[in-house]
Amino acid sequence: MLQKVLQALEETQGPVSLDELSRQLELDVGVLEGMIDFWVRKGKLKDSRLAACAGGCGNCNPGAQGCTFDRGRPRSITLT
Amino acid sequence: MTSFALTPSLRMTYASPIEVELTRLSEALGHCPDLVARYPMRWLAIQLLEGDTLLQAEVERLGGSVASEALAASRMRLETHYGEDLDVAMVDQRYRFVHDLAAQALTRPKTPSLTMSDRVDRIVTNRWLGIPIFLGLMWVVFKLTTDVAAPFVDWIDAVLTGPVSHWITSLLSITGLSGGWLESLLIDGVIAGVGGVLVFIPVLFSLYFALAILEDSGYMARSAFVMDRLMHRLGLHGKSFLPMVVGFGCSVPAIYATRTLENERDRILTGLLVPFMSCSARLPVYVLVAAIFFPTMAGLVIFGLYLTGILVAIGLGMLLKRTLFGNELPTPFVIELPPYRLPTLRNIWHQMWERTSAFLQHAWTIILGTSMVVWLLLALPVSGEGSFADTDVDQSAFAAVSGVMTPVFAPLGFGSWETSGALLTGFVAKEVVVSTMIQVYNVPGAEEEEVGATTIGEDLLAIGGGFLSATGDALKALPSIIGINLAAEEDEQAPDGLTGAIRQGFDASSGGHGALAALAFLVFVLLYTPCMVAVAAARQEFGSRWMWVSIIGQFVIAWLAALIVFQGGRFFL
Amino acid sequence: MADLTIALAGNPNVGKSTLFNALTGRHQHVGNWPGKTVAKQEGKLMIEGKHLTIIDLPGTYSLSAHSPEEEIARNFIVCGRPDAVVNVLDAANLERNLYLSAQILETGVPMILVLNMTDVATARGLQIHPEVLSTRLGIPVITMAASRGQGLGELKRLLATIARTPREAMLGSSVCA
Ligand SMILES: Nc1nc2c(ncn2[C@@H]2O[C@H](COP(=O)(O)OP(=O)(O)OP(=O)(O)O)[C@@H](O)[C@H]2O)c(=O)[nH]1
Ligand SMILES: [Mg+2]
Repeated sequence: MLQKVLQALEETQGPVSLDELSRQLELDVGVLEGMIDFWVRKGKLKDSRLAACAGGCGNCNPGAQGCTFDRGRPRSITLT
Repeated sequence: MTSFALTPSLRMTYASPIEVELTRLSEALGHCPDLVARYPMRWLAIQLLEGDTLLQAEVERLGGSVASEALAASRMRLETHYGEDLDVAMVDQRYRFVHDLAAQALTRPKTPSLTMSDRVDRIVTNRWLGIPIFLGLMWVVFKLTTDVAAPFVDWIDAVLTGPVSHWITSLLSITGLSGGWLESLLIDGVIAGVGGVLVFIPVLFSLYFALAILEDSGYMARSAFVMDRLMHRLGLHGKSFLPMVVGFGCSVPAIYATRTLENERDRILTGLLVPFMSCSARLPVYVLVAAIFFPTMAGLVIFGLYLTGILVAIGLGMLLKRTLFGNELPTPFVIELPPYRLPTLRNIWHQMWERTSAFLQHAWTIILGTSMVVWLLLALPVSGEGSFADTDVDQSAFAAVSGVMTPVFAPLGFGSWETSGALLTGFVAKEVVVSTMIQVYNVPGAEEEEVGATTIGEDLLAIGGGFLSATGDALKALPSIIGINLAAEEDEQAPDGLTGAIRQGFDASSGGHGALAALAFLVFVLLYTPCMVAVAAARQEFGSRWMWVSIIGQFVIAWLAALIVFQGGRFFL
Repeated sequence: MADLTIALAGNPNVGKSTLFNALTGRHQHVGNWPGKTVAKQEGKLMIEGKHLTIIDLPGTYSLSAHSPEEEIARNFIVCGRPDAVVNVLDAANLERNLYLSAQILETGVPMILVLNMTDVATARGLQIHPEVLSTRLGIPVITMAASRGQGLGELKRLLATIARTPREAMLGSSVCA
C-alpha cells in the first residue's frame, strides 16, 4: 500500500490535488496523508511546509509563525 | 451487566519472518528485568525492529550488550528478506491490517456525497473556468484596493500636508529654527519623502485585506493549483506558481520559497521569474501615477499591470525553458487544497496588521534613509548661484547624478532627470520611487495654501471630520466594484501642485504624450529589479552570477517592454 | 481501594478534550484545529463510589515519538501503566484513526474504543458497525457524539465495570523517563 503512493506520484502528469490522488488510489484522504507523512520522514518525499522560508525573510518581518508573506502558500509534496 | 475483558484478544500478526524475530527478540529482551519493568516486551521488540532510535538508546542503556546484540542479530537476519526497508514493510503491514479492519467495520456510501468544498472546487478548479475566475477575482481585488482606499489616501495626504506640516513649522518657529535647512529637511525630506509613502498605507491595507481573505478562505491554494496546471500544459515545470503567489506580497520570501523546488534548474528559472510578479511595494507607484494620468480607470490600469507581470513571467519562462534551461520533464507534485472556510475577522486583522507593520518598519529605515540622501543631494547646488538648502532643484547634485541616466530612458518617453532619479532610487526599494517623485516634483510654495492660523483644536476636528467623510466615500465606492456607480462623477479637479508638476514633467519628456509615457513608466517599474533585499536574496540563493543575470535581464526586459508601450502606442495613436 | 487511572488517547482533533471535560467537569481547551492539548491533563471522576483519575493526552497519529506531544502520549500509554486506555476515534475518518489503535493494541494495554463524531460520519453517509470492531478486536466499542453528550452514559457504565473488576497487579510500577 505504501509503495502505491510513491508509484502513483511517479506516474502523474502535472500537479494533482490530494483529493484527486486519494480518489485515484481509493484511499481516504486521511490515510493518504498519514502515508505521505511516513514517506516524508523516510526522505522519499519532500514537504514544502518543512522547507518554507528557511532562508529568512529579508525585509518582510519574520513573525512567530514564520514569514508573514509566506503563509498563503499552499502545502505541496514532491518526490525527492 | 456484563463485564468486558478489556485486554484485546486480537493482535495483528506480521509476516512470518518478522514474527519469528519478534518472538526471539522479546524473549532475549525479557532477560533484562529493567526493561521488563518498564515496557511491554512485544511492543518494544516491534518498535526496535521498526528502527526507533530513542528506544534503541534505552535498550542499550538498560539491557546492555546482550540486548543490543540480540537486536543487531535480528535485524541482520531480516535484512536478507527486506533489505533496508524493514520499517517500510512493517508499517505497510500495519496499514493493510487497518485497511481490512476498516473495510469490515465501515460501509461507505456507493456514491460518496459531494461536500460543499467539492462542489465549489468543481467550478473553481475547472479546466476552463479556473483561469477566468482567477482573473475575475484579481480584478475585484484591484478595484477594492484602489477605489475603497482612495478616500483614505486623500485624507492622510491632507493630514500630513496640512495640520502636521503646520505643526512642525509652528514648532520650529517657537524654537527659533524656522526658515533654515532643518525646516527644509523635515518638510521637504521627511514629510514629503516618508510621508509621501505613508499616504499609501490604506492601499496596502486593503490589498493585504483582500489577500488575507483569499488565503484564509482557501482560495489562494486553488489559484496556485489552477495556474500551475496551466504552466504545466505550456510545458513549464510544475510548482513554480506556488512561490509566485507569495510574490504578490513580497518578492523576497518568494525567492526563498523556490527552495521547495527540487531541481536546481527549475529553482533558478523560477527565481528569475518571481520578481515579475508585482509585489505590494510597487502598488503605491501605480496608484500615484495612475491617479494622475488615468483617474477614471486606475483599477483597470493596475489590473493590467499585474496581468502583464504574470504574462511576462510565463512567456519568459517558456522561452528560457526551450533554450537555456533544457526541456526536461516537469516533476509531478501533490498539492494540498485546504477545505474552504469562512475567513475569521481575527485572522484577517492579524495578517493585515503584521504585513502592514512590516511595511511601516521598512518606512522608518530604508525609506527614511533614502529620502534624506535624496534631500541632501537635492539641497546641494552644483551649478547656478543657489546655496545649500536653497537651490533650484534643476541645479542640484541629484539632478546632475540622475541626468546621466536620462538618455537611456529618452526613447521610452520618460527621459527626464526627475523620473530617472526616481527609478535610480527605486533600486533600493520600490516604495522609494514614490517618495523621490514627491521630493523632486515638489513645487515650493504651491502646497502652502495659507489658510490663516488654525488652532490645534480646529486641526483635530478637521482631521476627524476628514476621516468620517473618507469612510463615507469608501462605502459609496464599494458598489462600483460590481459595476454600480453611486458616486457622482467627480468633476475634474484643478491639478494641485504635485499632480500638475508630474503631468508637465511627463508631457515635456515625451513630446506631448504624457499618458503614454506614464504607462511606459509603470511597465518599467513593474518589470525592473524589485529591491536591494531581493537582489541579496537572489545572490544568497543562486550565487552572484545569476544575481547579475537577474538584474541585467530584468532591466533589459523592462526597457524593451516600456519601449514597446511608448513607441508602439505613439505609432497607433 | 486505590484510584484507577484512565487515559484518553487518540489522533489530534478528535474530541478527546471535549470528552474529558464532559467526564470531569473541567474546562480544557477545546477548538477545531489539531494540537491544542500539548501536555497531559488530569481530572477526577466518581462513578458508583469509585474514584477514577482521567488523563487527557495530546493528540498523536502514531506511537512512534516524532514530536514532544507524541512522546508524552506514548510514554503515558506505554509506561504510565493506566488501568485502561480510552482510545477516541473520529468515526468520519475511521481508517486513519485505526492506525493508532493498531499500535495501542500492540502494547497489550486494556482498552476501550470510542467512535466519536458519529454525527459527522452519519452526515457523510458512512455506516459504522461497532459490533464488528468489538468482536474482531475483543474489546468494548462505543459510539459517541461527545459535543452533544451522546454515548457518555454508556462509557460511564463501562468505566464503572472496570472499577468493579480490577486487573491483577502489573509487573512493575515504574514510569519510564
Ligand atoms: N460534530 C462533532 N464535533 C465534535 C464532537 N466531539 C468534539 N467535537 C468538536 O471537535 C473539535 C475538537 O475537539 P477537542 O476536544 O478539542 O479535540 P482534541 O482531541 O482534544 O484535540 P487535540 O487536543 O488538539 O488533540 C471541537 O471543535 C469540538 O467541539 C462530536 O462528537 N461531533
Ligand atoms: Mg485536546
